[in-house]
Amino acid sequence: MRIALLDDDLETAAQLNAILTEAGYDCRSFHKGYALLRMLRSETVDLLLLDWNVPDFSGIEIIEWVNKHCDPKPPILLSTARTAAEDIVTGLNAGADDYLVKPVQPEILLARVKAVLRRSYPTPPSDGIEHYDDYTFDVSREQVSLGNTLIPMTSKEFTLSLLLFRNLHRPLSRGYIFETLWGRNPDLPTRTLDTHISKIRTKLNLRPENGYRLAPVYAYGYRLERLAEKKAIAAEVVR
Amino acid sequence: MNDVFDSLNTEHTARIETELKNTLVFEWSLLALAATLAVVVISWAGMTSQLDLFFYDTVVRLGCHKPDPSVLIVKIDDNALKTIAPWPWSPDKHAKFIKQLDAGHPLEIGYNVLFLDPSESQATENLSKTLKASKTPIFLPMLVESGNHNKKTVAVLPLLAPSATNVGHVSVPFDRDGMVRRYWPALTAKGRYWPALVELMDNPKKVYSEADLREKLFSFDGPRNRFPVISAAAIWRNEVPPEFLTGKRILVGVTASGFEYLHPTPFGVMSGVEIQANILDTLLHDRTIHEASDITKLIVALVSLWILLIGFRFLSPRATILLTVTLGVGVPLLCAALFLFFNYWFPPITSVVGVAFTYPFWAWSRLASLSKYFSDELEKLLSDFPEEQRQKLPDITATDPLEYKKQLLKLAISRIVFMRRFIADSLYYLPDVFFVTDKDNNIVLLNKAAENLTAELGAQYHYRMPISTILNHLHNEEGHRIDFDQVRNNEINSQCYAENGRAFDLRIAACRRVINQPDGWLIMLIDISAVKSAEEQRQRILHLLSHDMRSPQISILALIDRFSRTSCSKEKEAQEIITKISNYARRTLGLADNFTRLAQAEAPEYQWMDVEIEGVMTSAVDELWIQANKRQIKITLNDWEEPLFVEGDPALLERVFINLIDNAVKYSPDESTVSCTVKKKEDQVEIAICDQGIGMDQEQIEALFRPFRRASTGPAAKISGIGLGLVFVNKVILRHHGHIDCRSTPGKGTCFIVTLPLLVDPE
Repeated sequence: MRIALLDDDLETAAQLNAILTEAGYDCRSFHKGYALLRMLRSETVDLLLLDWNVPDFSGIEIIEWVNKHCDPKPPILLSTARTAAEDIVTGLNAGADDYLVKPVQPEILLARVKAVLRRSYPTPPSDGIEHYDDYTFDVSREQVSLGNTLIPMTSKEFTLSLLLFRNLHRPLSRGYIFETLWGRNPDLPTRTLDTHISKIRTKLNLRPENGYRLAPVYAYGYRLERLAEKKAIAAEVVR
Repeated sequence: MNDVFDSLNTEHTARIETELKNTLVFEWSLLALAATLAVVVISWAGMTSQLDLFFYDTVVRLGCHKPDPSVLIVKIDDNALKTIAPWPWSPDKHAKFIKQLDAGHPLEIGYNVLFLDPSESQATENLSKTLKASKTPIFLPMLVESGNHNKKTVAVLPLLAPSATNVGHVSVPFDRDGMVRRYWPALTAKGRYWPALVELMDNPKKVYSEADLREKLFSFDGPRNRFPVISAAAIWRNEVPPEFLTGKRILVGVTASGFEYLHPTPFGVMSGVEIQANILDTLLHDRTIHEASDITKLIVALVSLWILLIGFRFLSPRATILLTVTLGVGVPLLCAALFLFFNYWFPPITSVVGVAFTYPFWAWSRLASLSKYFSDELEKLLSDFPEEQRQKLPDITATDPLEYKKQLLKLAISRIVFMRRFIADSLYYLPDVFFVTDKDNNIVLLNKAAENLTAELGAQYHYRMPISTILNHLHNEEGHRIDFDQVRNNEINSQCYAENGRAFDLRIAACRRVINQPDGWLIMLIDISAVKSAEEQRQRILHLLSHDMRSPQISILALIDRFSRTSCSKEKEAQEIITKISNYARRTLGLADNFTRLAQAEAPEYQWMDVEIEGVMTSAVDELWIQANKRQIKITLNDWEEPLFVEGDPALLERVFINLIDNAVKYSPDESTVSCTVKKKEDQVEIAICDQGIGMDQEQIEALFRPFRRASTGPAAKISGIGLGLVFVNKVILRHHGHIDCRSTPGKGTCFIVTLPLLVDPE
């Protein structure tokens, strides 16, 4: 997989390049927006990892350029030193697939890259049974089990859970989740979604101690995160 | 602007009028009672009768009649006494004279000569025969002694009474002023009615009753000598042709000096015979005057008085004067007209007096009450003044009430002038720019700051200049010119900027006297340049902290990460240094983050939305799981039944709980538990975060929420962190209308309890 990387900070660019190359990706670094765009005219990449702020182009401007000129459009990951919620929402709304807040932790970077790539270039569907770690989804029967235990769920809860797992690490906007679950129904209070999220979090135990985190992206929606491998966490704890 | 004050004035004047009217009700009632009583007393006591008689005489003199041509006076004057005989005549002379008269065939003779002397019986007999033989009816007078009205009347009949056609009295009553204006149609004596002589001459067959005993007004034909008069001497000497006497009603009377009866009348002194002639003429032409009764007089007087009194209550002062004059003149005029055209008399003076005296009293009481009202109002006005201003003005020294009022007024005026100037000056030197426009948006008033601004913007001020001329020099945030109509209609406060960079808060208020109809506009421009630049400064610092300060730290961390992947990092010494550098870089990063968050917490605008507590709490707990897990610290979150919603900014709220839990984790010993408890308490939610750490004493708790302060003594001192975190927490909680409490026992642990108001469920 080929990844194009844009960051005006040489150290950060070198760090990211090192992590991604180590993980086996074909990574190319750019320090200026226009250099990246010139490359994109002639070359195809599988993923763009963009810094929000480079001196000659803003992240938004590059996303807009990509939306207009690249077909098929490569998935985009934003990395930003900003922590303000509205900046992240602006990026997601413009068309970014996910974001990372600097300083970047290598495990998180790799998990996000992997998730974005898998979503964008999916493996052909299997026999209707999907596995995510210990979770098993039987799509045709609308059943989910953790390990060997079947977890009782309503149809909506199952759909929501599957949606979140299929879009692991991807921030899903409230509007998107709403439409997928209930269609275009303006009468439902937006709190309904919060209640459902709360229920599946409890039922599926989507908590850090179980390796997952169902986190809100404020003013935007929700994201299901898979924390670093359990082994890694255990290692960290030991260290 | 004048319209504004006009309407206010009218309102005020109307209020004064009403108050004045109310205070006058008492005075009016008193006056009405007093005047009514006075009129009744005056009328009953006849106090005005003299004036009434005077008025009567005046009116009588206006109406003269042509005497009846049949009435003829034959006077026995000085000439007759010289020619015939000295007075008294012997009966023979009378007999001869009567014969001479009879020869002329007059209609009737009233021989107003008393025959009382009982002597000369032969001659008297002779006269008696002559009387009986006369073809003309002859009426003789009788003497009425002590004619104290008709009660004790004694009639002394003439000796010749049986020979005469009839006998009547010739007495007349005298009014209080001694004048003759009336006559008695009849008197009683010896059990029968004795009619007046002239009544007999008018109608000998008339039947008399009790009513005829009352005196009646007769009318005068005019001044003296209106009737034709012939001297007895002329008849004696046969100088008058007998035809001259034919068909006449002859009244014979003595007018010779020394024997004449003279009476004062409205037309001056008249002889008795002339008065009888006037009475006769009155009777012949039915000109007897009907006189109003006392009750009628009183009623008329009271009616005219009450017309005036009612007029006082409801008419304007000008109309009241007119009414008074109308009544004062109209009633006498009406009397005169009734007298002259209908022979009806009622005395008007009681009415006139009642009206004429009531008006000045009323005018005086009105003035008095107005004056009192003015004094009261002035005193009220003066006492309303602030104490410090009262001292600047001179005190009132006058003791004379009028002088006192004058000084009071002077003082009030000077205070109002002072006040007006004070307000005008205050407005003028108001530091903010202030314009007043009329309803057509033209400037009618502006203060010093506004004048300066006008000059600064390069505009030339002139009276009634459109406000848009000023506002056109200003632009809003989008760079558009300020359109006064647009901002005015919304009445919104908006920010605007001048070319030279000054920023203003534009405030507009309508000046409304009448609802929905603005009379003008108040426009205020508050200079917010300093506030604006402070805001920009804040934004710049925020940017610096969030990006410019973070970036180098991120670069350091990236460098360390890359270095740790190389073989050099395997050496133990290098490993230690790298870990230390990494920690310092992370701390600096945390510092920048804390500053950024505090700035966000203090930002003027929050993104308010419905926030579900469970989501926020779970997220906060999950955020700290890794950190806590490293030290085997368990973070627990209780279960509760229903979803709890508050209104707030979810990102900031989550950060609040992250900070609190982070704090709890930091100050907890390894392998302990941090418990988060969410509880619903009526319309609030209480969130407690408790650790099993080292705890704090009261002094430490009090110092907690001050910036740049953290537990600095005891074992807590070695924990990394900065007091900014709690300042942020406090700020955000306050902005969410909640509060935070801290309970701690040294050695046992600390609890932070956050209380937030629950959102009222809209469903």
